[in-house]
Amino acid sequence: MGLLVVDSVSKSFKELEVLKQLSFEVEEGSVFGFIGRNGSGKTTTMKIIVGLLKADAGEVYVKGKKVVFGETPTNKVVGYLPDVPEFYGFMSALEYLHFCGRITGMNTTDIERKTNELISLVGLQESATRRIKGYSRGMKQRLGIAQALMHEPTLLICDEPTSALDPQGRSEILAILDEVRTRTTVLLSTHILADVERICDTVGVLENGHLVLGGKLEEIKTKHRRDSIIVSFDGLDQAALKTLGESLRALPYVVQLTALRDVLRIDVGSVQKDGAALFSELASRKLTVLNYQVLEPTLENLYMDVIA
Amino acid sequence: MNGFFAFLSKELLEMLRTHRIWIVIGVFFLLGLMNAPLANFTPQLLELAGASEMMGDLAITQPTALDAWAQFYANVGQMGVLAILLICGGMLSRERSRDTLVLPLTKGLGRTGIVLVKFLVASMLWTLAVVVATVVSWAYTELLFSGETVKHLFLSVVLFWLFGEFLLALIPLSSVLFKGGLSGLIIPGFVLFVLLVLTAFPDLFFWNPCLLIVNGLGLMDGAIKPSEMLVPALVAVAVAASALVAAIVRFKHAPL
Repeated sequence: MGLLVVDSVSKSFKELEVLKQLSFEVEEGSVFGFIGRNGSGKTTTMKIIVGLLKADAGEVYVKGKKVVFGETPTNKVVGYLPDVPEFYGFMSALEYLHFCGRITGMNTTDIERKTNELISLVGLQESATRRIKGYSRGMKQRLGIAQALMHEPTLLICDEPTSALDPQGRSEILAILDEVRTRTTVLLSTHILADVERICDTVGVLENGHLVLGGKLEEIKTKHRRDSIIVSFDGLDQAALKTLGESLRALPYVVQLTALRDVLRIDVGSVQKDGAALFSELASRKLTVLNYQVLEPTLENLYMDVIA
Repeated sequence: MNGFFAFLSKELLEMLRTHRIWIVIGVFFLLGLMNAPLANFTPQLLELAGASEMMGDLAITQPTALDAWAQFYANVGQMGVLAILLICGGMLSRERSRDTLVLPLTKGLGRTGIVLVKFLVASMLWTLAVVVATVVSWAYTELLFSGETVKHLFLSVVLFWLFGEFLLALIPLSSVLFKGGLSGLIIPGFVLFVLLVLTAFPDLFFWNPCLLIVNGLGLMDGAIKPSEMLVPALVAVAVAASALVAAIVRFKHAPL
């Protein structure tokens, strides 16, 4: 059983059915990228996991314990960072972290130690005693991560932590999450695929209320590899390239061939099996190969494929 | 209980940092200060305005300490109650609409604790307000009308305080039933209005908690016996307690 199990969860808001029997698991130690377009139900799912919203049907389990709406004991092992974390502006970051520590029942020594550690982890040392109402979006997001980690949770849930930030702020948050992954499992929702590729090892794509793609990122990429090869040549003009393309198209293992400006994109049955034959064929024609590249599927391509 | 005390500390800090406590002390100090002089100088003001000619045979009587307490009910009883409602009305609803409770709740803060702390802090402010206004009003009355006493002063003020508590106890329920930053004022405002209208029929609605404030002066001049205030007081306590329980139950099932 995974650290987090979402089992057939459904949720509607009036007529709008947001989640339709959504199921997925997050394994301990992984960084799970929960991908979906705006309004796809990512925030709703996360709010159900932390007991802020009640599911119409289905169950959620954290560490094997069922999540209860309202008063939620499973939150003792969960850290949550909402998309727009709201703090008490009259407090300083230090005071807010102390407040969080006291709520979770930590003793004063632990609160002191953890506060100092987290303030330095998220880089808020210089503004730790300043009132939060003067903080920028990025600083609030960093404080949000610190408060979520205050009680050393087993599972950290971050709802679009980078969406509203500038490139520098985004990069800082990703760096912090990358560091945090060694001590806690992370569930990160986003629609920024570059962020997922940078830090996630597992993904789930939410579309129309259920998961349309899920699993280890590398496995998914392998599974969805298109077996395409891009080749470019020295000394061939466009017309010669076109002629070459037509003759290569006749080869039995070439599934499809497209001439793109100065390169050929050749889809074969299997790169492993047919790649060498293609290479020999090109060599036998005394062509100077400038570039021979097996096309790796990007998450963006995969995403566009599954939601299409 | 960790969460309860952490949240209470946060509320007290907020009271200081947002200057709410100083606003309450300042407002109620002024409201307490104006009663005795207003009572004392009203006849002279009327005289200056030429009221004695208009009133014909009706003589303008000499002011007494009771007139000062009548001013207390008029000023603290009206403006003071409105002021405390405005100051405390948004305590819970504002936090709900701004989502500031999301993080503490996901840290394990209990929803019962939130409702109780909010009521407790509003109660503390109201108690402070009543003490400030009463002490200032009493001291100034002693100064201007020395030696004059009124009946059941302490009891009258306690019942006046109880009516404020009754209204404040309705704020959490109003805040969880309705949405918006000032939703906490909807039920207390409505209840206050209806009960004020019903005070026109004191015999029919002898249980009306509003009588705690309306009959205060009657207690002081002996026209009303303390025992007559028992039922309105019990009704106020019962309704306040029920409203708090209802707010807790409803809040536990409120999505955030």
